[in-house]
Amino acid sequence: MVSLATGFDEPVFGTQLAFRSIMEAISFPGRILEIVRPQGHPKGWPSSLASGCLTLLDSDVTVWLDHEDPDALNYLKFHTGCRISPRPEDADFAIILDVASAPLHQFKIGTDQYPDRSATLLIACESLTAGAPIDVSGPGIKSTNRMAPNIRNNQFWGIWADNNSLYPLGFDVFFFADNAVLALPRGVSAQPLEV
Amino acid sequence: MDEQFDPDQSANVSRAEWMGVLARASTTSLAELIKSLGELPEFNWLRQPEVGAVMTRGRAGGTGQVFSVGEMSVTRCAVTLTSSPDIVGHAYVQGRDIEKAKSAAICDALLQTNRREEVLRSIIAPLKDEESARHLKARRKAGATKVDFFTMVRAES
Repeated sequence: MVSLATGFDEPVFGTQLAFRSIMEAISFPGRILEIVRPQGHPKGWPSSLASGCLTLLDSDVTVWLDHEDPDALNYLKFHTGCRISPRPEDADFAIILDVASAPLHQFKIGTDQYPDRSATLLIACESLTAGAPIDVSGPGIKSTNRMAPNIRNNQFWGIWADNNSLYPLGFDVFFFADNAVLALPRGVSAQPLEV
Repeated sequence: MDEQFDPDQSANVSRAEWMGVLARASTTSLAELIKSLGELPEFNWLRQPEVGAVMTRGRAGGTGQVFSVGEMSVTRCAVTLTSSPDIVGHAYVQGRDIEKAKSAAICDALLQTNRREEVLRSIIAPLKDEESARHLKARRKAGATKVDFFTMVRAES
């Protein structure tokens, strides 16, 4: 039998608090924001990822998951009412636990008329500080900001450079670990530090 | 639906059917009947009661074009039983009564446990009878005021 985890105790206040964190995170790329925990979340997810899903998803969006976990699917369907798609190219939001095997080139980047019709990737990380450090610059950052999400994909920053060059098209990324969120909007360029 | 609810056949009552009975039940009757279950089981909210509106749709004459009849108030909630957290009781009930939604969700949860027969007998069956009586009364009232129009055939040339 599949179990169903609880969402926010007070859905309205919970999602408002979480939204505030998410908005600040994407306004200040590189800044790590604490995000409110829901009461329950699917196994294998950081609580912040569940918080982000409960806040950002609703019945108008299509979601792609990189894992077929009935607990996670039930959680999303029950609490958000979102549609689930098996095709990454249809997704408005992608929930990614294993970024190494995610089809990062297939997500929507929007169109010239509608750059907002692009995907937002919600990526689970083990840590937002223990990865290889990288300097980011762009809108919302005065000079440069250093971030170090633990991304288990060596290709990621190469793909990110491609994505950044598409601006104003491209996808946006949120990294979630434990109870914190870090954003990487498409307008931000990243320079890996020389080792 | 005129056929009487038969407790012997109760095992065949589908979840959709009892959800419907609970949704349409009168608030006072459900509040009264739920007392017959004694102490209610402990539960946790999976979704706190929320009041909203749904658009009801209909077809003219039951077969014509779909049209929107109007919005109605609906209260929904979901619970899990503390004793068996795998069981989820849902309620979508008409009206804005939070207690009614709570009772309906607990009934739906209990109907999935070994207390099913008891709940069918002491809650669903009486509510269903009440509903049939209500429908019958409405039909009688409508029937009593029915006017038959007929036209005399004109004898023309």
